[in-house]
Amino acid sequence: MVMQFKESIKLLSKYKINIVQSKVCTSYKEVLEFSKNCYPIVIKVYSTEVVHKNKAGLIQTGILNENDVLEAYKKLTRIARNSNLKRFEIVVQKEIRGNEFIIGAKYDETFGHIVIFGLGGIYTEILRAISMRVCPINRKVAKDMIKEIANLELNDKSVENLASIIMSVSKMIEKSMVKVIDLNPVIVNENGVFIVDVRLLL
Amino acid sequence: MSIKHIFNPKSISVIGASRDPKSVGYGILKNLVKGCVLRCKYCSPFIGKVFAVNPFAEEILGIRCEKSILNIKDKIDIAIIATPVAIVENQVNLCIKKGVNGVIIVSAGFSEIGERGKRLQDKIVNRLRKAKITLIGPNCLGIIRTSTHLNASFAPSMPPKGDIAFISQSGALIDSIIDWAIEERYGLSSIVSLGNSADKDASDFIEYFGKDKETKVITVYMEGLKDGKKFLNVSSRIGKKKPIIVVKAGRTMHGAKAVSSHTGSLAGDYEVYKSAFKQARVILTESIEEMFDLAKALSTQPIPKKNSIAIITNGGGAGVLCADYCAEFGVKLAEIDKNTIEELNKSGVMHPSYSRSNPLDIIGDALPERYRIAVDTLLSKEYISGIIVIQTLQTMTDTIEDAKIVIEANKKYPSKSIICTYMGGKFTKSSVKYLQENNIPDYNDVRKSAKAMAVLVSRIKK
Repeated sequence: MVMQFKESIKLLSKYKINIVQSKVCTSYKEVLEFSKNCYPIVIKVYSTEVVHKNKAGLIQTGILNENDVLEAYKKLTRIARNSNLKRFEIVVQKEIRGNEFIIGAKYDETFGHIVIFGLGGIYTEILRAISMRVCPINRKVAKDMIKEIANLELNDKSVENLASIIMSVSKMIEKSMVKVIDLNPVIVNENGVFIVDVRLLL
Repeated sequence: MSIKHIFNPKSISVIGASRDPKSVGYGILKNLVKGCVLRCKYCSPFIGKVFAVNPFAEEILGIRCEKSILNIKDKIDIAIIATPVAIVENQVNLCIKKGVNGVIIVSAGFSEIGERGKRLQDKIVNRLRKAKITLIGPNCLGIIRTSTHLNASFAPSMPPKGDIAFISQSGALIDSIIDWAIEERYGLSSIVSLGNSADKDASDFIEYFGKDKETKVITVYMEGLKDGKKFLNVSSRIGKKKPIIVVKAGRTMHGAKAVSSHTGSLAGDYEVYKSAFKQARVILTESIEEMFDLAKALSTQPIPKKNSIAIITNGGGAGVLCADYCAEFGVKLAEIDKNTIEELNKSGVMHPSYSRSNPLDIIGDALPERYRIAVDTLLSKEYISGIIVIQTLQTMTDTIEDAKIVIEANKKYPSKSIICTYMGGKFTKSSVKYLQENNIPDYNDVRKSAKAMAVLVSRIKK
């Protein structure tokens, strides 16, 4: 079962996993309020009934002004209604660009908890470039995982930040009730490391 | 009792010894007393005592049959049970009464057939554990220990003696691997068929072979693991001392359960195995052949001091191909220095256009003397830790002499790793055999040689 967005954020923050500034909005007005000083923005629809938001057309990106917000908001609520979603949350975030990665974790019946790190975005499923380890994961192992995938593109600070997230994910999958953690994408650019989207399965 | 007792028995009793030459109970007894059903030069009767239990027969294969294991006066170290499943439980009880150290149950009809069989199996396991008796099987082929000619199994023949232990989740596979080992000269110390792993699992045997003085390399044919954490724990510890090589079946089944997330679909079963093994330094191969190819190199050749290898060849093409594979698998080719070239020049036997670099191409018309100078000169150099010797078959090539040169060099430079590819078939066979008998791994393709050198290099302590 997919966990609600608000609950997910709360649980993640307990393990010091913080996603980019996001707001759950109940109206178009609230979206405008949030967006005022931070275009471009992204609007997404979260629902426990939807696993792949993107495939369902529930993410709108490249929103640059109030007109775009109105258009996107209308479109998303229409799709959400047409998909017969019983409950959903509209979430607005600042849009972030950069290199996309995935950090995930799950329980494996043979080896126990495992954590993965890999290329995110469209490359995730195509290239299947991932590194994987059995928990628990310390900083050295976390860095090895990163180096296996993305040696050249990342500066030291980003590697440290990513390693911290990997370690936190390792801790969370072992200690919490969550069965699968997907942080995808985790975006790295010159300003730092940003967790843009999450999906927790119970 | 521990696994150690199972592999080093002084006496063994076959319960369910049979007069029918087509039966398992006959095959096992014949293996023990005659030295295998299909004889080869590696077969000999078991050096310990063999007893037979069959209440309906007087004598089988010259061995007097007892009505029950309790009628045997001597101490029995291990009992191998090959009776119909219906009477296995009763025979186990008698074995406990007799005070054996270990029981091998060959009979099938246990957890592999479902719930009813599982209950019977659990009952037997509990009883044997309480009595502190080790169980192998049920539903297994048995065990083999080459040093004492112990073939306590229905495998029809015996492999050559060597330093590789083989743990198999498939019994039938063992039979053919033995035949293969005789032909390819894979030297084995022990073989164990796990069967249903009711008592001891692959990890327990890895633990044992880790301490076993007759074993240098541990190989495993694996279908699945019940306790992955235990396996990782044991393997990462043992793997530091002895290489563990695994071939895993079921590669293409993906974790269908968790495809609703990216992590779920990326971390399919085999991917998880692959990563977990890597973490525990277990060498995962894609085929049985590759597993034994690597095991052969690891069990017969030393680990090179440095990743600094040379290729000697009498064929340019094979040398270049080999160099490509070396690069692909992480084997570094040493730069041949000026002094070495000077020395080779001075020998007076090099072809005027020999390569003077690595791969060292000594040209197609190389006679044994040229091979000898090249091999000896390179191995004598501190900066070269191992060599791959390639021989292609030309009209003047003397394959047996070329093999002899490598065999002598292997003795003269025991700390250096030597791998050969004496390419060919019909006309090269005898030299390949000669190399293998002298513990020099030879592979029919340079890709395999590069891979074998790579696995040796991967064991260099960092």
